Amino acid sequence: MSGLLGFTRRHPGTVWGFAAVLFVAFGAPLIFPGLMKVGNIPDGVFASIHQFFLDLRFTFADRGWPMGAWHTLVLVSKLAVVFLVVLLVGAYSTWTERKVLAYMQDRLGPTRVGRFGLLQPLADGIKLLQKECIVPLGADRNFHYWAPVLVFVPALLGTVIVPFGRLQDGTLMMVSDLNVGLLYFLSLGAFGVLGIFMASWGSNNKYSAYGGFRAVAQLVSYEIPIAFCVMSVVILAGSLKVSTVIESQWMVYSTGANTPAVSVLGLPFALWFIVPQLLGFVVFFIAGVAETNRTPFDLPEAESELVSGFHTEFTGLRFAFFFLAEYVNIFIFATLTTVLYLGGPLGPRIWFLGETLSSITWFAVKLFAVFFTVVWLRGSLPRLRVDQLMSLCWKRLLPLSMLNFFGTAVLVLLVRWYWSPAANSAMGPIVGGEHASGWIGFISLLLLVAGGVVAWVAVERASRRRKREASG
Amino acid sequence: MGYEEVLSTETGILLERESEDRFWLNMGPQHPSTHGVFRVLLETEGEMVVKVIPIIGYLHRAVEKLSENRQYLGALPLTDRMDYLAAMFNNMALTRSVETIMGTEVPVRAQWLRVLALELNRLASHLLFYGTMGLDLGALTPFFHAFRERERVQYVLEMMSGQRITFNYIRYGGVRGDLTTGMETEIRKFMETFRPSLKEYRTLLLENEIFASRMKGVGVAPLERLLAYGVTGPIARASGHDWDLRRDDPHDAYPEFRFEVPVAHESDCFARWWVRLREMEESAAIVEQCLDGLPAGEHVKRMPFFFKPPKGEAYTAIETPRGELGTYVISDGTVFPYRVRYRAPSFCNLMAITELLQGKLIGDVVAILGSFDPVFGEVDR
Repeated sequence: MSGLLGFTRRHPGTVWGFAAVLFVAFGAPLIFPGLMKVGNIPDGVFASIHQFFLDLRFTFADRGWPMGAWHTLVLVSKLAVVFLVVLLVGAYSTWTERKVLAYMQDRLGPTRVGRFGLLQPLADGIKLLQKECIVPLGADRNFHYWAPVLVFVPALLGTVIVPFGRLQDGTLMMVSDLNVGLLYFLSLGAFGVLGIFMASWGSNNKYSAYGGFRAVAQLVSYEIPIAFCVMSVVILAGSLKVSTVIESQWMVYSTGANTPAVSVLGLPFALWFIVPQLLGFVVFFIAGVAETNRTPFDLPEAESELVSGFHTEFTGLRFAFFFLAEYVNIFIFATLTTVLYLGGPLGPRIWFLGETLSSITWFAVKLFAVFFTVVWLRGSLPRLRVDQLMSLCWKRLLPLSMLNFFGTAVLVLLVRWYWSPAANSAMGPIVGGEHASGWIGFISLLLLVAGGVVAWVAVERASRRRKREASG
Repeated sequence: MGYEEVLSTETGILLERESEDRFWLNMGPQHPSTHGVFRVLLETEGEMVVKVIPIIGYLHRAVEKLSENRQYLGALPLTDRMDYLAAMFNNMALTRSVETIMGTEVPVRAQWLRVLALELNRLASHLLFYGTMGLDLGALTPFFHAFRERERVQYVLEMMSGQRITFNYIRYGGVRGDLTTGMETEIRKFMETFRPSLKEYRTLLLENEIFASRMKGVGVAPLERLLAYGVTGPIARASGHDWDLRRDDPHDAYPEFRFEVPVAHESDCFARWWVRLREMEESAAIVEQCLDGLPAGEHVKRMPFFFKPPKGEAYTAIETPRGELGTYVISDGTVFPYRVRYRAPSFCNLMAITELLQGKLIGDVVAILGSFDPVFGEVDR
C-alpha cells in the first residue's frame, strides 16, 4: 500500500509535506467555515447576493422592465462568476496535481514562483500567452484554429450544472438547474470529441492523427458505460435534474424550508448513492477517468508512444486551451461524481453538533477527494494498451454497467409495485414514511450491495489466482 | 496487394507508398522513448506495425578508429563514451584485454575495487532501466524512485572516480584511486537504504495489474533466435540462457564472490524486467561482500605513462549490464594499439528487435524496445 501511495518509510518528511499540501489546499476552508454551524451556506455574503437579485426582480417588475432582462442579467452575472471560479480552480488544480504528485515521487514540485510555488499557474499562463501560436506547414489552418476552441467551450459549458453549494432556503448555487441536467452533461461529453479530432486531423502530423484516432475511439466507447451509470442514478432519483438527484440522497437531513423529504426506495434515513450504486460508482469512476484522458487511460496523449498525441503541434495559447480544458473536464467529472454518488455539496449533520461544515466546504472536500484519487492513479499506474483499453470498456465496464442498470431498475420496480403501493401512482420519486416498506427496500438494497461485494471479491480472487499462476 | 515502392531520398531506403490503410510512422531519432537516437520506420496498419526498418548510426564517433591514434592510456577515456550508462564496464573491457596481452599481475585490492566499482555501476545502470521502463509504459513514479537511489550511486561513484558519467576509473594495472574510509561509509549508508528501496520497487510495479498486462506475454523472444543474433546478457537470461561471464569466465576478484545468476524462461518483456530486478539484488549482495572482505594493499600496480605491450593480440569479454562486451586488441609492439574492436552487446541485442516488433501494436513497440534497454552510444560507437 505504501508503495502504491508512493510514500516512503525513509522520508517521513514526505508525509508531513503531503499533509501540508492538503492543509494549504483544503485545510483552511475546512477549519474556518467549519466553525459556523451550518451545512447550507449561512446568511452571509452569498445569501445577501441571492437576496439582492431576488429583490431586483421586484424592482424590475415595479419599473415595468421586461422580466427577460432580469433573467438575462442573473444568468450573465452567474456565468461570469462561475467561469472565473472554474478557470481559477482549473489553473490551480494543475498546481495541486503537481504538488501531490511531487510528494508521491519524493520531490518538492513547484517552489520558486510565490510561496509554495502558488503563483506557478499564473506564471505558466503568462508564459503561454507570450508564445507564438505556430501552425505547422501543410496544416488545415481553420481546423487548427478552431479545434482548441471546440475543446474548450464544451468543457466550460459543463460548468453550468455545477452546484457549488446550497443556500439556507434550499437554492443550489449553480448557473442553471436544468431539468435535463444529466443529459446535458452526457451530450457535452460527446461534443468535446469533435474538437480533439479536428485538432488531430488539422495538424498534419501522424502522431497527432494517431492521438485523434485513439481519442475518438476511447471517448465514444467510454460514453456508453457512463450513460448507463448516470441512468441508474436517474432511476433512483427519478429525475435528470441535478437538484433532485442531490435531494434524494438526503431524505432525512434535507428538510430545509423548501425541500421535500425525498427518499431512496422509501428508506427512513439518508443514503448517498455510492451505497446502492457501488458497482455503478466504480464503473463511472473508471470510465470517467478514461473520459478525461487521464492515466492509466491517457493514450491519446501518450508521451512515450505518440510524443504528445493530438496536441503535439499546438503551442502558446492554443495549447493552453487544451491544457485548461483537460483540467476543467476533470473538475466537471469530479463534480458529477460528487453529485451522483457522494451526496452533492451537502455534508452530514451530527445530531449533537448540528451541521458540520458549510456546503461549499463540503463540496470542495468531496471534489478534492475525487481529484486526489485521479492524481493518485497517475502516481501509481502505467498506461493501458489500445486493445486493452477497448476490451476493458466493451467486455468489462459495459456489461457491468448494464447489469447495474437493470438491477437498479428491477429493484426500484419491485419496491414500488409490491411494497410501496402508496407511491405507486406518482411518476416522481418514492415518498418515504412507511417504515415497514422502507426496511424491505433496505434489505433488498443490502442484497444488491452484497451482490456487488461478492462480484468484487470474485474478480479480486480471480486476479490473484492469475497473479499466483504467473509468478509461480 | 502489390504496393508501389518509392525511394525515400532522405534515408535511401525503399519504402512502400503510403495508402489509405497503411502509412509510415517515423519514430525517432528524436522521440521520447527511443532511448537516445534510435530511429525506426514503422509501417503501420492502424495501430498495428507490419514492417520495421531500424536505422542506427546517429551517434557514431569512430571510437575504434580513434583508439588507433592514441596511446593505450589515451584510448581508455574514449571507451567511457560508448555505453555511457555503464562506463566502468567499458574501461574494464579494454583494460582486461590489454592486461591479457601484457600479462599484468593486478594487486588483490585493486581487483576487489574493480568488482566494487563494476557492481555499483551495474546498479546505476539497472536503476535507470527500471525507471525508464516505467516511463515507457506511462508510469511516472518508478522513474523518480529509481533516480533517487541512482543519484546516491552516482554520488559514490563520483567520490571514487571524480566523474559522474565518464568515470575513467579502472586503469591498466589497477584502479585510479584508492577507496577511502569516507567513501566506504558512504557506500555502507547507501546499501542500508537500498535494500528497502528494492522492496519498494517490487511493490510499485511487480504487483501492478496493468504493468503485468503490458509486459507479460509481450515480445516473446525464442532463445534460438536470440542466440542466432548473438544476444547476450539479461535478455538472453530472460529466455532461459544460463550464461553469465561473471561466473562462467570470471576476471579479477569475481571468483571470490557468492552470487546467483537469475534466469527466467518466459522470454517476454516481464521476464527481462524481472531478471534485471533480481540482478540488482545480486549486485547489492556482491557490493556488501566486497565491503566486508576488502583486502588491504596497493590499489594499482604502477605502470609507465607510455607503455609498449608486447606484440600480440587478445580477445576478452566481460559481463556488462547489457551483455557480453568483447574487446579485441592487436598490439604491434608500439605505444599505439594497432587495432581495437568492440563487440557491443547493445548492437547485437538491437538486431533481434526488428523481428520482435513485427505485428505488434505501437504501445508494444515502446515496451519491447524499453525492455531491451539499448544504449546508442554503444550501438554506434
